[in-house]
Amino acid sequence: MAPNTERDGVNARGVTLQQRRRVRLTTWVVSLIALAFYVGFIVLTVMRSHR
Amino acid sequence: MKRARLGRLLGSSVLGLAGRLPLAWGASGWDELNMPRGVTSASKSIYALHMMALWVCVGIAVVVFGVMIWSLIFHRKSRGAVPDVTLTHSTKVEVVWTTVPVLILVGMAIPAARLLVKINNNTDPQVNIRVTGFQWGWRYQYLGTTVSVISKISASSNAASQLHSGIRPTSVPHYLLSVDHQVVVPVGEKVRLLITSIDVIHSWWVPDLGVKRDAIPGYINEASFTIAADRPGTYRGQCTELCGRGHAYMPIVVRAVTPAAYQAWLKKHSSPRARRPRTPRQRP
Amino acid sequence: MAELHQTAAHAEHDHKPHGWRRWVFATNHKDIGTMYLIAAATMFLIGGLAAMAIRAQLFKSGMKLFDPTMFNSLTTMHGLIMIFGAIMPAWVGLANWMIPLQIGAPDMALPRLNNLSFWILPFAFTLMLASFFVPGGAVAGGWTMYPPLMQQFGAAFPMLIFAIHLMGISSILGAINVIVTIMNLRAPGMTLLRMPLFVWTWLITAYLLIAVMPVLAGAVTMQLTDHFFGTSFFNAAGGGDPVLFLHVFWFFGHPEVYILILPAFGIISEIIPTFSRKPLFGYEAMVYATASIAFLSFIVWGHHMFTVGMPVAAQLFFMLSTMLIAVPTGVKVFNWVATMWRGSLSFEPPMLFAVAFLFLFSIGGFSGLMLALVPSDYQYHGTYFVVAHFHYVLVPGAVFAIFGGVYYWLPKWSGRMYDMRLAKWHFWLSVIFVNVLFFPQHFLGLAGMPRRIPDYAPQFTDWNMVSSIGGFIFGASQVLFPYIVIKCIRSGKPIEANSPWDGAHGLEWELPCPAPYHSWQTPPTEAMLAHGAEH
Repeated sequence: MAPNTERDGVNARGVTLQQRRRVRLTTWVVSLIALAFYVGFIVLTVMRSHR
Repeated sequence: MKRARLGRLLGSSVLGLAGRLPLAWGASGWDELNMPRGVTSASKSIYALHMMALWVCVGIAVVVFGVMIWSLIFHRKSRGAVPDVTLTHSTKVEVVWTTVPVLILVGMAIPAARLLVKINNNTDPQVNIRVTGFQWGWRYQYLGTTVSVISKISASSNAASQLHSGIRPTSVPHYLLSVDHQVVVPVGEKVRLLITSIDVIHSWWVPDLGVKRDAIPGYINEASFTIAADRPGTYRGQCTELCGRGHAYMPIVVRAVTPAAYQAWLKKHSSPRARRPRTPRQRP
Repeated sequence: MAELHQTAAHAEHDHKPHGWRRWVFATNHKDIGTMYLIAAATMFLIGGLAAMAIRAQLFKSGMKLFDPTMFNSLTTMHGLIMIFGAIMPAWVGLANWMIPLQIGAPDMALPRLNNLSFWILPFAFTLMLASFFVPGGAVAGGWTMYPPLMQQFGAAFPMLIFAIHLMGISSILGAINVIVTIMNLRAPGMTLLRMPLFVWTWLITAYLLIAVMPVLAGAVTMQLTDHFFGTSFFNAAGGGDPVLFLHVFWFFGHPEVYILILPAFGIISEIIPTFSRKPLFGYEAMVYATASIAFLSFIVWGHHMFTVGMPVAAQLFFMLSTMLIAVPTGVKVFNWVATMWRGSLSFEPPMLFAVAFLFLFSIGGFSGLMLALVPSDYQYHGTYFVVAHFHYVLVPGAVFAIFGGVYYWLPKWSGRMYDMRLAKWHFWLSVIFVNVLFFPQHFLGLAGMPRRIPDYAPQFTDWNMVSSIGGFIFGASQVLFPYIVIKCIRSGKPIEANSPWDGAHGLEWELPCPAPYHSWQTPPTEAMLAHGAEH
């Protein structure tokens, strides 16, 4: 990902609109990865634990 | 009052330490610094591998630390050293310091892998003993016989280890490393252990035999050793997996005897008609 | 432009909220970073007190200060407090302070999430420490929490598990914030391969956290349901498998140790070039080495459990993958050495800690290599050799890097210089006595002393005494650290220039000292970036 170069829609904190949109997207993706690891490992353990 | 006692304790310890330190460099003191060579071919090979790895590490350390110390001494600002700011990259050097470690690692991995395969060979045992860990002791059942030994910390160590016992550990023979009933094995014969546990995870370790294997409920782990025929003796170890309050108080003592003496011991302690295996008499 | 920015920044200064609201409702990355660092220092002292108690009990054979269960609680809580309470929050605190400054971002991307991830921690720590005072005392099964032993503890057991859940949530939220910030809020022109190494190592660490903290949470949750809801995940009597917990735990546990050390690599990579007055050698190699270490950390967990009776092929695999880690780690050490080579070295406190890190972390690496060899590990496993190994990588490794980082950036945070002489005292006392404390533990382990025992056979007394004396002096000298920091903030000599270090490069040094409350609301210019980019 390239850093932003445009400065549209800068808010009080100095963050641009484009950045805010991408922040939302990245947060979802990373959170889902964490959730997938949590659920995935419990499912794997259940499968392995009760042979 | 309390302070005086603490002072005395500190004083006596420092004196004791000073008195004993020179010993650490004497022949007998080597045991305080390094892994024992042990009495099985496995333990001796492990010792050799350990020393090889140690010397390789020392060698690498001498080179790397040598370069660092050179830099620390000669490339100081206070000596007027001028930084060579162009020195930021060198493909040649980087290839060298990636490949040379790989070669060293391969050189260490090959003997280690060979030894690993060798010492995990548990086939063709002459004696089979089931070892069951419990909180806190060990039970040894000699498979194919009626002999069974329940081995717990010796009464003298147990008494000395109690809170406010007032007994000095040095006055107890083999403090925390002696048991009421020792496990007896023959020298020169391959002994296979089938290790398990009835409660929590324990680990059966005798450094001189080069054997450490976890005792896990629901699992039967295998390990085997052959004590050199000329090394009968008593070998001591401890549980090495935290198993609760008595973790430090479940030692292992293996008494290795000649095959003839072993057979005699077995015969003496087996009772062909008894349904319940008997435990041998107390042995200090 | 720079002047304009500074005046703007000073105007913003007034927006600082006052009183308790500033801290409870904090969304400013600097305030949150400060709170994280204070929390970490507090927990470091509490964990240190536990360590002092442990060393007192082990002062000599037959010493009976504590009941064995109490001793086991102390070792367990020492480990958990130091890992989850001291080192990890210290890294998050440094990340909060430094990442926005170093990439030219106005703040962390998710400031309110940042507030939440900090304020979870005091509750987690309280829950964890309160478990000392419930009937039966704190959990005494080791920080590794192996079942079935873990199932034997009383009210402290669910308390610890909830505390771990809370700390895990806090870490995951913190990691999400770091990733999102680094991915999206870099200043124009700050490409990934221009980022400072502290930012790089933290980005990789954050991914490790995202991947493994949920695994830990899952594992302890399953222990909880085994205990209270009749499941048998790890209960052999019910058809479960205790070894499975070990596998799941160490799948978390090994990346976890890299979570504790990778940011240290980043800090050392910042400090050494500054005080060598020379750019970091092999910047890209450092980045790739860090990434390789992170990748390898997922496939080496079996080396923590060589004695559980895995198939020989599995043991062989874990031995080889573990040895492989020595290659990228070696590349990093060689790069640091090459950075110092033909530099112009000076030895201010941050550099002293960094140089000590290089020597002593390497010693921890050597014992790590020895531990990787499975046959030797059969003898080392579960002994003081292992204790010596991981304390060498965590104390003169991670902790020294934290000290180095604080001494490096404290002038930037406070705008004042600390007492150099006292800081050097802190360094020399630490570096000498950390070795007196931990080096003899190698001997103890080799001679056959198991870890986690409250009493030992008399032949182990000599080196235990040496170790305890080293421990007491090391512990006492750490009191200097908060004193130096507080003294600096209260009455240190103000710094006029942007940087007290003549060799320092990086965007944080383009800002005035102290860094204004709101920084980089106007992104840094390309000229600042070029000046900062030393690589």
